[in-house]
Amino acid sequence: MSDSFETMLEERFAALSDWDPSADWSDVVARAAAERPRRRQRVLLAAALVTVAALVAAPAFGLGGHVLRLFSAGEPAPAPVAQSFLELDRGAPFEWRSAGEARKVLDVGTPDGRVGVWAAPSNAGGFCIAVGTAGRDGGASTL
Amino acid sequence: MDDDLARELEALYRSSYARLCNTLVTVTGSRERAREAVQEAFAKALATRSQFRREGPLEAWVWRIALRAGARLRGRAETLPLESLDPAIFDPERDPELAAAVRTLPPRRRLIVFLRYFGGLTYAEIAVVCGISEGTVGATLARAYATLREELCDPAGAGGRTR
Repeated sequence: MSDSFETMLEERFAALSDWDPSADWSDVVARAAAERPRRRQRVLLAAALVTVAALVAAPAFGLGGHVLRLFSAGEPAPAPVAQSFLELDRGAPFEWRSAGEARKVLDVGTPDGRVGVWAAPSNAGGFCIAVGTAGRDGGASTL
Repeated sequence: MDDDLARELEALYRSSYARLCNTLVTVTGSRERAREAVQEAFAKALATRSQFRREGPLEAWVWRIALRAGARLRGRAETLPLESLDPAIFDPERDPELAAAVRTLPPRRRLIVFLRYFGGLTYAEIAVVCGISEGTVGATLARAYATLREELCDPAGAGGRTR
């Protein structure tokens, strides 16, 4: 390829790329601020689903004992999470209420901070879980 | 670290905005969608900057996000490699001869030509953006030049067309 051809090509492409739209960085910043909570929600949901799947599948695969050991090994839930379990128990049918102390069963680092999952055994033999980020309670839901 | 990266992203945004828009318009087929893709790409880069590990150029990382956003806004799969993109010169009537010549290139080769000429990216940056080696970029561009030269300088030989 000759230099003159390349130069000609560059000039012809340059003539077609003369659109000069106005940039707006403040719009980018605003969109980024809106993006973060959405990403955090997705991470929390994914963590909750993984935990739910693991806890549901545990008896089927004979892992109940491992899950129980996981419970005893996990650190106790911090006060806001324990409080969340108490609030959840209030008014719930007996079999859905927590039968023991909530403990951390999953702790993962994500780009948006650490995500923790706490679980407590329920009276019916299932589990109640709560998901939170950076040590803050993210609410609780029952299984 | 995060704040430094935010400042770098802002500087990159200001220095590359027009180049990105001019390239993305070939992917999205519309100026409005091209602008939207660029805004969306930088917003995503800014929101997820902690994931950037500095294993490659920041600019290439943003370009990859922008091309994915452009593909999504065009209604194509948001996946890489970028073979699924079918970029074309926007406003072909401004240089119909060049637009037609470029159209004869396979989509992937066309994209690399646009990244080079509209995007002003180096071979190394194109390699990172497209997930290929720098040598492949050079070889692809050489083949594209050969085709374009035939089409533009010897159209009768290339396809028997007359002008």
